[in-house]
Amino acid sequence: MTMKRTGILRFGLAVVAMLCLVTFAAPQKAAAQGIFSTIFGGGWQSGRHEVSFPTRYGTRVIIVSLSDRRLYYVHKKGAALSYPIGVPTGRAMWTGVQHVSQKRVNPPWTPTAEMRRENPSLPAHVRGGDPRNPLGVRALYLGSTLYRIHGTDAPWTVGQNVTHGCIRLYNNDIIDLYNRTRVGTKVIVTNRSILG
Amino acid sequence: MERFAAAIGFALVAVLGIAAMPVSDASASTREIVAFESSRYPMGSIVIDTSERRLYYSLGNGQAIKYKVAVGKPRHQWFGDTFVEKKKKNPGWYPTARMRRAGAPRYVPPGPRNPLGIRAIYLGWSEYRIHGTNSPHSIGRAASSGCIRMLNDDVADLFERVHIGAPVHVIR
Repeated sequence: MTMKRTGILRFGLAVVAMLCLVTFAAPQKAAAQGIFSTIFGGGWQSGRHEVSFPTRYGTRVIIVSLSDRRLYYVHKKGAALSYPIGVPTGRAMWTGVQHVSQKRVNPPWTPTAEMRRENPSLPAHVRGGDPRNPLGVRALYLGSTLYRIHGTDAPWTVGQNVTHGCIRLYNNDIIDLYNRTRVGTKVIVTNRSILG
Repeated sequence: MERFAAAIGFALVAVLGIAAMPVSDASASTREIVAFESSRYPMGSIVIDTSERRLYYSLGNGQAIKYKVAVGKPRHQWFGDTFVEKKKKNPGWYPTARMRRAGAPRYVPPGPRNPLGIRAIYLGWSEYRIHGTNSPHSIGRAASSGCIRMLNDDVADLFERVHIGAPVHVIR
């Protein structure tokens, strides 16, 4: 009896260990990404939590800290919701103030000419709602720029410096943020670390 | 005799059918004042109900003006929030790159052959507009490439009411 139970336990441990291995040790290649998105369902986790926040920015404002790799939405005085983000790589880095000009459910994606020069295998257009759409399920358009705050189809890139200028959240997080913001919400993108 | 009766019957049906056909006149209007949730959509906002094929202009007093519109074909429909960025009388039409690949010309000047009709309301730096039409029979259908189409008389009415910066909500 005890022997049998230990056997099951051992088997269970082995499975868990293998899963961990797959989760943390798999190389980030296109093939592995396919496995990842089937395991995780394409960005449907969340990393949101509430933090206390300096009051100098006002409320109902989005602050993106590139060095914290967090997006803060100040939902009330002295407190913000903090979401993990994927941020622009070195030369696509930008900072400044914008306002949300459009909110889109299942945004379509048209890669820029530069993205297609870099990676000629990219399609000219990906329809909104496609599970392979890199913008995920919601997008907040920033001013008249091509930059957006959006979801993802590649959740393992959240928390990294990988984008071409966009700010990337988990799908669950962008839905939450989408429902809290309006057209006109101020967005401050800064290099400065706010909460470290 | 039987054949004669059938012919008469057929003629009658044809005449009645023509008489019952809706009048598709570009100068007609579809607007009416209806009750509306002003608490969610304050005065001056526009709500486009895609499945209903109607556009509401909130009057802020629990009422809205309701207009019949054409919306995007199912694959061109979009949902979300935006704002009125610009208003233009007698707009020229520059088809998008995708439309040109499908055979559209580079430019169509204002006039009876311009599908934007007599007014265009530009939405949030996008390619989408609320505009008039030169094909009034399409109003009430899912016919466009994502734009919101209205009868010319209706869009002229909305054009005078709406302000730049007004919120626009496109719902399912």
